[in-house]
Amino acid sequence: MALIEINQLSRVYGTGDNAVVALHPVDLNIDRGAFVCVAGPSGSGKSTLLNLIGAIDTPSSGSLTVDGVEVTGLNRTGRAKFRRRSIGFIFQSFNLLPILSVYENVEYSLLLKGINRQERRERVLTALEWVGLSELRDSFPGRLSGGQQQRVAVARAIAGAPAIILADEPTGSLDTGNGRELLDLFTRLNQERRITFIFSSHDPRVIARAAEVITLQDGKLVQKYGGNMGVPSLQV
Amino acid sequence: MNLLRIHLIIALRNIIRSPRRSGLTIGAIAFGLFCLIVFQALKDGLHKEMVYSSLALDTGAVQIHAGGYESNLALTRNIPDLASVKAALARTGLSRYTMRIKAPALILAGVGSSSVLLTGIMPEREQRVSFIARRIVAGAYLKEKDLSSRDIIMGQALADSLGLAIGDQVNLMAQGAFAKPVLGRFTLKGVYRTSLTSFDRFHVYLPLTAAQNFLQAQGVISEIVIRTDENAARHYARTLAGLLPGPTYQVRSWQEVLPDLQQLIELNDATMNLLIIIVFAIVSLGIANTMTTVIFERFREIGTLAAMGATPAGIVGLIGLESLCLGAIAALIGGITGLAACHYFHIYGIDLSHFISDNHYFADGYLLRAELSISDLFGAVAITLGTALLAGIYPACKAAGLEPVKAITHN
Repeated sequence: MALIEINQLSRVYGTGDNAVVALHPVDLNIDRGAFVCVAGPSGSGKSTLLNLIGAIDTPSSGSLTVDGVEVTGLNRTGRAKFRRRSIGFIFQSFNLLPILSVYENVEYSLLLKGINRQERRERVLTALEWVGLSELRDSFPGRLSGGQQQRVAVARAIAGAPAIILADEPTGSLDTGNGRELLDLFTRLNQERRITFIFSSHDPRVIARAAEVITLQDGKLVQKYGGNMGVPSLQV
Repeated sequence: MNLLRIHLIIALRNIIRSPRRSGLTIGAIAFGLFCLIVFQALKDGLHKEMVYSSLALDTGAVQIHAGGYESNLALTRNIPDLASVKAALARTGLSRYTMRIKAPALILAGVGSSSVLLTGIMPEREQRVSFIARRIVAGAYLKEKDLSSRDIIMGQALADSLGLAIGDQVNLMAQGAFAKPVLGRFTLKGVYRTSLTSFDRFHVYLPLTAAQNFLQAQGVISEIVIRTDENAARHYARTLAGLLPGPTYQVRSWQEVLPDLQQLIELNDATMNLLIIIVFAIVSLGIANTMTTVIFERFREIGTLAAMGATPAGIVGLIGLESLCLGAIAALIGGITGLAACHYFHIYGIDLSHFISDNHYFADGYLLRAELSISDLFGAVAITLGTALLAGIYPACKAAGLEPVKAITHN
């Protein structure tokens, strides 16, 4: 059984004449441990698809099942608890809490999970070690470079040991070197910890690192290849 | 560190993050609390002074008369069984009382005359109830050991208007116990002065026995006045009324004797409550405005928290906690400064003599002192914290209602 099952999932913003279809109905399955890139130009619906999978947006139609949970049937609180349990987010602009230290930023998601103090500490330190920021644990985000901030965001995402990490244009605010290092980190985490990664990008160098690629255009899934998605195919 | 603790850290750091805005908001709330505490304390001080002056001037906390007594009766009504009254007072544990005889009279001195209220008193006991003895400005107060001496004391305003000096003779004319006119000659022994000229013009005091003899009412006591805690007056009046049943006796608390004073206090309380509502409505609008601005500025952070799994209730809690922290800091500042101001006004008071004319609520002086009770202080702080919390609810609900994706992508 696939980790993520998407059936006819769509998103329309606005109503009537003002309606804009951000994502046409999509069918998609993603397996546990996958390393998927959602590719496509700006406005193609990449972020919308990731937001729907992460349950930070609600679909206009269709169903989404993650790890056996029918996400589209959950209320706001249920979706929040689902995100807490199953999803780790990495945003293009990092979205760290500027008033919390590096350590506290990573710890916060664990506090939400109700993990005890000792385990929290171990998990935070392990996550920071993974991203190579142990030395900067007491620093505040404002004093870090873009690459360092994104690594804190990665540590925050992996500390909670989620089933899926969703990264929307994770290298978008980084230079080439930092972007490459970040993708190396993603690959290691995917391979060594079997975390499912779904990230979006329109950068061919980033797309090339993915094991599986889903290509969107004008809100439509036009191509998917790699992994159990099979050989490159074109869907219109 | 649990979730509450990190939310507290977030709340406090957010407050520090915008020092000017937080400072202004905290200042406004603290000022509101400061005003509330000081106004409340001055109001209580005012009420205390009003009650004290009224009670210590003449009225006492509880009065006992014969049944059917009315203050404007020309003929003195005798309290029927003085022994029973004394026994009832002893049983109730009330020892601070005095006995009087009162009658309206006309004072004649040379070519001048004035209508007065004549009060026969037991000088020693009277001092336990009223402050006239402390207000002697010329001559001397009456002596307990010679209750039949034909001495009289009167207010300075009356003595001045009649052109009298200590040792001068005056004639008193009144209606005696048998409804016949009586006339007597007395010597001015002392002159008192209160802050209330109208009282000074109207009240003259004689030793009890001399007054009884003059009114041909030997042994008659028309009024027993008790001083006790003014807040317990109603309780004692009810207890005494149970022991001294009507219609033989009439027992009244000061609230019944001076209903206008009681009504004035109630009116003051109502006005103060209205003022509190207005002040705290303004304060709550200030907090709500600040917190709403805060929410708009932190859309992305709130969206991030939601994306990490913070529930809507958790976000309400976080924003509510920030409001509460604002309120708590303001409560600390407003509470301490309010307490300090009340302490100052309690010791030094505010001299109202330049602001008000003769007023029987300030018969003992025109100094208004702040009187702050612990319950009022804690009540004011609780109102502040409650207002801060309530004012934070709207922006907190607004934040919790955000769709995470909209919050995260907000610019």
